[in-house]
Amino acid sequence: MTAIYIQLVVSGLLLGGIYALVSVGLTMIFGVSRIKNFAHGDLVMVGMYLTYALTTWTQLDPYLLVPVVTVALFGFGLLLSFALIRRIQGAPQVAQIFATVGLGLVLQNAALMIFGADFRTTNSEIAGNVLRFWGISLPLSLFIAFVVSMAVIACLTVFLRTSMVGKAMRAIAQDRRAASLMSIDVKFIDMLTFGLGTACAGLAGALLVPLYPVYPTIGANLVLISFVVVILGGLGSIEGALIGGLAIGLIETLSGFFIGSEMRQMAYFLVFIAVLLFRPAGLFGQRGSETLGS
Amino acid sequence: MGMKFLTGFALAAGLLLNGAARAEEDIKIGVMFPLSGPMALIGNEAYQAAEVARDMFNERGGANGKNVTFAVADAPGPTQGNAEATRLVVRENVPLIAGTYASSIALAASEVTEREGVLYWETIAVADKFTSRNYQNVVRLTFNASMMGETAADFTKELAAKFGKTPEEMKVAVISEDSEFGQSVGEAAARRVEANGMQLVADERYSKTVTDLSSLILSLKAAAPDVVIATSYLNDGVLFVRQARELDFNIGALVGIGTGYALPDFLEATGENAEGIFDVDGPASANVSNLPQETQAVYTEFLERFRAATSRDPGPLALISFGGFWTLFNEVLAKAPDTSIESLRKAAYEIDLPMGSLLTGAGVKLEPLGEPNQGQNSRAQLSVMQWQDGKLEVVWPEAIALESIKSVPLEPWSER
Repeated sequence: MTAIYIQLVVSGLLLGGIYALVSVGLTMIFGVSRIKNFAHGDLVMVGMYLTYALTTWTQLDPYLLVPVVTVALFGFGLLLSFALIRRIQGAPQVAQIFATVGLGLVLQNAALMIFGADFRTTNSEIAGNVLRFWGISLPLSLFIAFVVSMAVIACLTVFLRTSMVGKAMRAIAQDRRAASLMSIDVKFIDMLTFGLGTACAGLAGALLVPLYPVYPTIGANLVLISFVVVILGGLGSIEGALIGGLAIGLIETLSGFFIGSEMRQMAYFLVFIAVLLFRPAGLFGQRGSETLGS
Repeated sequence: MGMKFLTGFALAAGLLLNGAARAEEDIKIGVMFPLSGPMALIGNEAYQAAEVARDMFNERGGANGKNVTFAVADAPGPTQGNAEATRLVVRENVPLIAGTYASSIALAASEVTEREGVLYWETIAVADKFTSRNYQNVVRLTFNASMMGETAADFTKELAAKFGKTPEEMKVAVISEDSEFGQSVGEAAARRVEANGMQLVADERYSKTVTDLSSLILSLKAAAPDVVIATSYLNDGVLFVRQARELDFNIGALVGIGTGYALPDFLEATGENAEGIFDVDGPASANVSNLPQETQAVYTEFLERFRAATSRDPGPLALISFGGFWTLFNEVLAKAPDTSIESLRKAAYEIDLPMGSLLTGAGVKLEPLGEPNQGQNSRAQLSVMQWQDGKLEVVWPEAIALESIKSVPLEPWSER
């Protein structure tokens, strides 16, 4: 029985790692550019389809294609930023929401036209393996996603703290006008941020392909949970996405076991409501961050 | 005006080419399927089976010399189903609508036909509610969701001997996704498990859009069932099998319910882990040798024509669809004196076909009017199939089985 309890915690943390990975791009774009990107889940979906298509075409293991997909989505993000996102920068929230929801619908329907509504799956030689220690199972695919998720979050944190571009991003996050007065190219940094955020979505998508089947509306399933994670952790906070993701993963798994499978979503939404009531800015968030610097 | 001229022209041309065909005496019926949209794949397959049934029937002389023609409607979802049913009834003046595959569409469209006094002939949709609304004009030829759950529980009882146990010693867990379909199947299965004297050690629901089932699997692991009865769509069914293996959750048998476990995509996604998994659904292939001579001949012709039209083998729903339309033509349209709702309904309720009359091994006898399930076929045929060497074989009930049950109890994951 003890083994089952330990397994529960391990499974919860692994699931949380996935949630953090899916959410980190979203929180970053929000933190720097104040864009609420409702198309984030659909960008993950694009990453999944791209990985699926490349895997089917090249017959390579999806894990080998992770860098390709990440770079491709970075480019796609820059393109989107240039064509759409920069036009809604600083626009009223409603305009941002409609534009990104619209983008999501376009992406979903494009996927529907190209790939149809069927569930597509790929098999990875690597993903099928399971590591076992003392009766605890660590599915390799989940474990890889977890490790990459931790690494990406660590790299982003270091990048934001130490690099020149990272410092510029934080400066914009703190005060957009002052940053532009310090001769920071705000528009360029916005584009770069959106590109990086989209690359994170692509990375998450590529790592999810061996785990879940891909279909056009899978993004809609992911975007809700990532908003919960981001708001719980604190809007714009990278560490918040990590802690928020792990917390939701644990709550979901533990409540599913102890209360019942149909109650698991209710459990984390209750926690979510409680956090909003008692700590509206989220665990690591800054109060009023949603209007800061805009 | 242009349309009328064209129709007249086509009619004249038709008369010249074939003096026997008299279009004004054709029987035009409404046929509705999701032919576009997310459910189009199976919708089209079912429609093609209906077309084969129509052509075979017309070539055999039709309904007392009258040919059957289709007024076709495409209903991708319930809203269009409702609107298209109205169009068929009001503008096309059809005496009945047949179809439809998806329960949500059938429920929405049959609201219209009930109000307008037109027969609704459902061949595939399974939601219990379709025949439990006390409607006078709905008929369902196929099984309903409860029957699927009950069949799974009865089959599990049969498996007890393979475990060297009595039914009373069997521990069974029931899990299902929480849509209307999953809930009604899951509840019926759980009730029947207890009615059969087996131990119900877990009864859980989950959302089909779930991305992780580890908590569910771990709670099942703690309950240690011999058999899991699982009602799933494709995505969650695949997830369950994959995570059961990852978490080393060993069971003697997995009895899946629904198309999710039967699709080639399931095999593709789970690979060799599909081996030994059962699926409760309409039979995917008929055991022709056990069927009456006449049904065999029809089956052979259907198979040839379906392959010629689609260059594919028919799936389980194509067989069910064909059987539904074949019965409609031969037992209702050919026997009713006219196409008034009274005559059609009378003919439908008078059908009395023994088991083995349809390609799936089913018979037809509707639950009489006034019963809680009026219009439901009480002789619908369900089967249990099993993945054996990458093929889905019919293994139960014996009358229609093509292969024997294998791999029970399943090997633990660590020994595969």
